[in-house]
Amino acid sequence: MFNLKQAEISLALKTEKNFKALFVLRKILVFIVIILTLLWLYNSIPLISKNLDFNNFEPLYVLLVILQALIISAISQTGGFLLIALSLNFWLKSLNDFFENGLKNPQLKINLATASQDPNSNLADYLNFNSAKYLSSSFKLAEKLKLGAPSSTILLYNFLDEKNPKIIFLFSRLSIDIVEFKKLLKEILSNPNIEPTENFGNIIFEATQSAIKRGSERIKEGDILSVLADIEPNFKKILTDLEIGRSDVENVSWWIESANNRLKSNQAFGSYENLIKSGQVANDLTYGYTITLDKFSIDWTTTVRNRGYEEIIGNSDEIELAEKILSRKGPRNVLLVGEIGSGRKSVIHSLIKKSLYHQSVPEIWNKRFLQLDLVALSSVVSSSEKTEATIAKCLNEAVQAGNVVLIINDFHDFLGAARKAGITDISGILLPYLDDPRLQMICLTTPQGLHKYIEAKPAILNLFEKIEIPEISSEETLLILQNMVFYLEKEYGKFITYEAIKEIVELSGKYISTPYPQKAISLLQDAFTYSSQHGDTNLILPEHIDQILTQKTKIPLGKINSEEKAALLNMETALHKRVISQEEAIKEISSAMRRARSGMKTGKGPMGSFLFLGPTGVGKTETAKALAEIYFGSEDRMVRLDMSEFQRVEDISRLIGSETQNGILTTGVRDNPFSLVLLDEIEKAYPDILNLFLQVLDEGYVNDNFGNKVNFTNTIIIATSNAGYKVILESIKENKPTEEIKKDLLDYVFTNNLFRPELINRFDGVVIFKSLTQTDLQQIAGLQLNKIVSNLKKKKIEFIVTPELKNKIVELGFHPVFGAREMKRVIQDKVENSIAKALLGDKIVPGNKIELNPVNFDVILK
Amino acid sequence: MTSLVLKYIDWHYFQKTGRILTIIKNFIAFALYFFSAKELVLSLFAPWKNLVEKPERGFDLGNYLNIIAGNLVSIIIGFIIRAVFLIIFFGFVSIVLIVGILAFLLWIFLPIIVVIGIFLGIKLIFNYV
Repeated sequence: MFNLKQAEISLALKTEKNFKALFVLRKILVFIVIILTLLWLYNSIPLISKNLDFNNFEPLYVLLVILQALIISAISQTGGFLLIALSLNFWLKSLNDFFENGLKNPQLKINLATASQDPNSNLADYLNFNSAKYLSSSFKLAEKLKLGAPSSTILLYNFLDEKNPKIIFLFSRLSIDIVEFKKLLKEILSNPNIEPTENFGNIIFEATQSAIKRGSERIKEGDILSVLADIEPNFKKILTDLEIGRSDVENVSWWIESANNRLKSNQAFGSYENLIKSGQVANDLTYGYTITLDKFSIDWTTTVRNRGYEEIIGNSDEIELAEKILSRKGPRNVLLVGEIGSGRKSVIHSLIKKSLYHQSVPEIWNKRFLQLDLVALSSVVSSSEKTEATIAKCLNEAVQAGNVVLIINDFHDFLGAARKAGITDISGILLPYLDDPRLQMICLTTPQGLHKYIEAKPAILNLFEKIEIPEISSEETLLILQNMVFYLEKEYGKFITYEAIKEIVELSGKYISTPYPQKAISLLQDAFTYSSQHGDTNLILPEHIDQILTQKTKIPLGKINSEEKAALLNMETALHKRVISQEEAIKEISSAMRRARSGMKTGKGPMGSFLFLGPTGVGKTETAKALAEIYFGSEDRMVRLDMSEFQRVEDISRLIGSETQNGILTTGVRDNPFSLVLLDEIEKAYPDILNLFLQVLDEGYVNDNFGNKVNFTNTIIIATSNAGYKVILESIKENKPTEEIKKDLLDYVFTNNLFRPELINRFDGVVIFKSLTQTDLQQIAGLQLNKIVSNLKKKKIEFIVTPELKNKIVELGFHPVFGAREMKRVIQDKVENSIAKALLGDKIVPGNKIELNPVNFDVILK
Repeated sequence: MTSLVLKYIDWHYFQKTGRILTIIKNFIAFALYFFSAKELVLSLFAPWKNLVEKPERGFDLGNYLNIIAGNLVSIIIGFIIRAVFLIIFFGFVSIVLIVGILAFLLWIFLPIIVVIGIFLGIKLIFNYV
């Protein structure tokens, strides 16, 4: 049920004007009170000077004289007016409070979730004041336009209040000009044929659901606007143009609501949370001294206290588990395992906050969280014996004090295996303390550190309870960034749009391999630094984020520009500049690239995956290289694996890493997520190794040896093989069409168990590279000789390539089995050597025009 | 109008007074937190900063008495310092209670105080006309 007129909030709507008048009156009264007070004080001055004995300046005496003068001067007409003004002022102040806190926020009988299920509950009771006000104006306008209920456009028009800070926030973050938008709606509403198109009841119902989802007891402006984002045609169109939708409007409205609630709770007088922010004065009196520990430790509690109250986002299960471990009987040692940047330290910060504000279990209340700075300790203390003695003393003090939670960062570094300067092996000293239930300890490590060093010391590991810190979600990262934005905006004097923040989360998730939230936080900070350096505008937009990330990763991001569009449309031509013939292969690759870049690609796998089959020396690897250069900007953006080097089962660890080495494949792709992976001679690899690629091709990721996910969705995977090349050669001799050659080849491959069908089927395309014809070879020779032509041109020497020379090189360089592979060597041996000798012997000088004798390759001056 | 007056009475005498009582309660809870009162009471007779000596092996009466005396001094220092803070805590709580009760009464009688104020003001004006 929805009846605004019967709702309690309607009383506030009806009386708003009267209360506003009273507020104006109160402002005038405040002014009068100030004038009358000054007048009263002025009147007291003659009385004070009259009664004061200037030889006696005893404070009590002077105070009494002043008081007496004030009282006497108060008993006057001025005093009477002042008393009336003050009394009225108090009364009006209490009426102001009554309107703001009482009438505008009537008490609710049942909660919103229950009310939404109850047909007799009036949902209008749950509107906040502004929503009720805008709805009331919408009903009036609908009545004026002779409509039964307000249409979505009428509602939107009334909700676009340029004076409401929340509405301004929402639209400015979404980069929508609220004034222009309202003008547009006004024009639309001036059309007399306007018809209600939507069910008003549904709008209220959906807004109620949005409020419930947000955990709110009131239906607010953002809830109704987010529903309108889905149904109001003009709003929907603007949002579609901005490539955002209802969920984004919801996100921004939740953002402002949560910031608003935080501000309100920070300002609430007398709330326990605000009072305890001032800390404790006598806490240390009940615990022991930590003189040595204080010298070699970093006090995280003070840091967290100084940073003030921050919202805890993400990792709630891990925080709760850490609390349980720290408060249980027996050894209370936590080992936080997570990648750098995954939020391990945030988990400790959250624990400290909960400890400070008594929001956790009592066993960790009032604790001091101290990070033992072992590196600083080693650098100060001269000998290793003394270092060990000092560490032991620190540990002893931590136990004796009774209120210390000890933190050791990069714990794996201090267990003896890592031999670095300033690193001491503490495992021997630590072991007896770890078993002591009086010590509470949190150690931080990475999955690699855990496997490589800590697992090698089971006696230590057994005394810890391991907590793995997973990467937080993109939604939680968005919330963290939103909380940080206000501080950064104030610091840099810039304004970041919601779309830009969203772009940061999306792009960092896609193109930066380190975990959330740190990568997104770094990119946000980069965005502010970048915009202050290139500051022609105060706005930070998604395109700025694209530019920063493109600079960082060399990945072409953002909307496809006209240059890139042309490159994609003409990819065939670009590839043919380096690869001769092989039209079918090039066409297939180019189409896949266009699909990926225009967002048409479906499925989770890489951008494109191809198996190139064909005889050796026909341009398979060259095509891959050309693609890396054209699409990824450089041949260097290629992870090239010669699969003949992976012929044993043990070689898997070389691909995905082991405790002693990084994985060639996983590290390569993690470092260069936007690259081409070339698997040369794939048929020579150990079959189990190929199974690894089944997952890569299917799901677009593989887990490395430490269980970390390596993302392949921004890679192109090309596998090459010359398996069954004889079939191709024979089929070409018989002039078979390409499709038939492919069929014969695949039959051959499956019959001879060279590849498993499930592997072949996972590639986007199996591309047959045909043998090269005489004309193709001449073109290849021409291409390669052209490189020498352009080099000599720089030296002002003109090199004329004759058809006879090309024919000779083809004759010498072509081999039926090795294709054109030898051609490069022939050009090097015959052409380059001959010209080099002539250059060094001063037979050729700048300005010369030369040719080569096709028989003996002697230089001929023309 | 009647409904508005009833709402005002409800807000003034029930909602707002409830809020004042909550604030007084919060200030007392804060005092307990700020002065770590519970911990101070529980450790009132504990040695100062856990500084205690333990007797070495073997029996030496002189040494034993020395250690007992030293530990006793540590306990006495601890007791005095904690007792001082406990006294400050009780003082703070007393002030909170007095100010809180005054604020509570002032709020309860605010309508009467306003009327009396206006009445007295008028009286003063006319006495001096």
